[in-house]
Amino acid sequence: MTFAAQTLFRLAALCSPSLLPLGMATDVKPLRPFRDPPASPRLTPFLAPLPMPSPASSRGAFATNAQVPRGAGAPNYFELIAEERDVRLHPELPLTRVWGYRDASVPTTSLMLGPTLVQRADHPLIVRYRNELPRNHVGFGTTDTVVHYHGAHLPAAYDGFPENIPGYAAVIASGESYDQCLPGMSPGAIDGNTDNSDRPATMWYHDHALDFTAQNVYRGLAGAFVFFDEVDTGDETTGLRLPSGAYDVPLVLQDRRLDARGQLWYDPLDHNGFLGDLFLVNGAVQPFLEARGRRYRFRLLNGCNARFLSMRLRTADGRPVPFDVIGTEGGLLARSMRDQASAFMSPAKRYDILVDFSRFTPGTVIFLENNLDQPDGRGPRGSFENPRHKPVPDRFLKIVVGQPAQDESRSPDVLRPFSAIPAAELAAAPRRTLEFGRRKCVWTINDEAVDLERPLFTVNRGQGEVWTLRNSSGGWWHPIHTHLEFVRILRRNGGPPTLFERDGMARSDTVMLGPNDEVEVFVKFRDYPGRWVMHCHTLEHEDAFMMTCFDVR
Amino acid sequence: MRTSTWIPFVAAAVVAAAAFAVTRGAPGGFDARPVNARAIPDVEMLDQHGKRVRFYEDIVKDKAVVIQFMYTRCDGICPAATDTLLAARAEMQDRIGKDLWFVSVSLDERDTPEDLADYANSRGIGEGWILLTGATSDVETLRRALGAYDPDPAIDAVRSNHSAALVLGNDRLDRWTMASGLGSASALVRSIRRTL
Repeated sequence: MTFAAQTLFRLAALCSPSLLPLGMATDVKPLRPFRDPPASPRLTPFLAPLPMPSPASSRGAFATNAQVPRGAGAPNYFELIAEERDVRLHPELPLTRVWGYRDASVPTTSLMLGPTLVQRADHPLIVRYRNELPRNHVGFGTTDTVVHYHGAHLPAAYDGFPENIPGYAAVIASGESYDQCLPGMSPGAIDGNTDNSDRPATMWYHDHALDFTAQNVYRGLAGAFVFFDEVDTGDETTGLRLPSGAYDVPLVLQDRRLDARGQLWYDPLDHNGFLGDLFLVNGAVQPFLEARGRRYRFRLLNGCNARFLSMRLRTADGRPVPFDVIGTEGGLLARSMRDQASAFMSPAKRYDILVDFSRFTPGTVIFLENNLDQPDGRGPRGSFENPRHKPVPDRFLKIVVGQPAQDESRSPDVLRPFSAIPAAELAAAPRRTLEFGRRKCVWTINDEAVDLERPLFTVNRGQGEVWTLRNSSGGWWHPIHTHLEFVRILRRNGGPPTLFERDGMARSDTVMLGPNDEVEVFVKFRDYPGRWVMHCHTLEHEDAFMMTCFDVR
Repeated sequence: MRTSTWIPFVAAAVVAAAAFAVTRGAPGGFDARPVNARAIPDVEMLDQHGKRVRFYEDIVKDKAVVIQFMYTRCDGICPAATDTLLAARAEMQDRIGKDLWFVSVSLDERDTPEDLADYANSRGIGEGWILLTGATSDVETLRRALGAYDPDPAIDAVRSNHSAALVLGNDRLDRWTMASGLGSASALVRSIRRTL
């Protein structure tokens, strides 16, 4: 397309109703997918207890070719297997065939969700990933897979590069294995400029095979990943004294759709973004949790392919249950945000919240529910600043408050303070614009389709940059995930970002772009040269080429 | 499991099986066939040689395919996407026409088999590449079923807005994904190899 033609196209696009601030004009009926998806079997909610995926247990050291950076502490060794298995997602369902990760030290697991990886700062994890998915698989998904540690700061060879190209060979076929080293060291450590305030709290790991990530993650290849250090210790008697042990609970939120036989339904021919009609927590459809009357830490993780969530807590009689937000996907906040009513999260985003159940009399019922109004894979109605909600929420989890229990935990005001990037550094930073567009029914970034052999740009290690992330794709939302480093959000649509994402308060690895949003971020790549991807984390958009790559040198 | 909970399952299965029979016009149980046999409309079309073909039974079944939507009068992205396919084809000579087929579906029912043959000749399109034309309603059904559409009716109504989505499929493995006609041939070849 010539430049003049592009300009004409953009002018035409600007005149079309799809670029009105709220996307398509509200009286225009969107085209539905060709096949209306089946309604999942009706199930009685809250029959089974919330699954608690056990932490992956360390095994003995094994000989590995994974490189451990100098200065790292004693490594822990894990073996992670990807396999096909039959699990019961709900007591009223027959067994559902899924793909899932398993800790090799246990012979079998009955959960879809993988084991929870646990890492302590400066202690590398050496993960041996073994692909035991079935050869000759027929159906959606591919058995050539690669594990991405979402939110981790690690060498490029171990990030889970989505495609095997010269220099990268992490995608493995069934029957093969690949060792990855997650150093767990703070950004800057390699050069001795360690920033110990830049640490994750709640991460996840999932498949990242190019063209097939949505299908593979939907089949079940995902798990939670938590990180501790001397501040966020995993022990409520030390450090910040955040709730620990049985009271520190990852809640992986996912949606699925089942056919009449109780098997996963997915349409690999539809790329707009999958929405399920069953709501799972930690791999179970609408489970319940018998909570004790004390403080909990919930690690909310949006593990849906394309569903955005606005999560809230409500008593059975409709009273709001406020909570303290202590962290996002970029780790602990600088300070606690008290008494929040909801957590608005795109796919891949995380919120760590504290809820004190000691305020409630035993027997009180509280629901964790989503009331965001999202009609299709394009995203929720409304804008980032003002998303629309629906009157009847989708309930994910029923919490029944029980007897009080001993509670040594605190909900501190100050969590992990850090400074915003100084104005002088921002002024000196090179600028770059990344435009997330759509042309001729395919996604583009800066008007290009992805080719992971051709980086879109190169950044210098240690040189901070200011990026403008612009969504010019019409009425679509895109959560933009940058690998390797957290970004600092500086401005959103010309104004200050909300406190949940503002630099000096929070870091982000997934930036929500509503229709026509423009978000300015600061990012500095420090330790690990190599090739990295950034992409939309609505997984169907990612697979339909809404990805790009860049080199850090 | 309580018996009552099965009732919706059974009802849904009956409805699905009925829908299956209607759309495919063939007998068969709900469970017996892969998703794409149900999902890909078996519409009748004409190829560049004037031969009548059915889209699923003759073109897709048991094969790996790369499906492009184009029309011969297009002066937009179609020629560029065709160039990308031609370059990809050159890299896959060993497979093309054997277990891999390129399929170009015209979005313009004015395109006659002769127009398609002329287009094929002028672009150097050779063996292993099928060009198809058909009734607008059938092509629209196909395009929607294969996911090459935009949910915004205003955008979707513009014919040239469908020409960059390439549908990659392997019927035998029931493996489907999408690639971009705006990208490089080598990236496309890698995507095709992953789907084969």
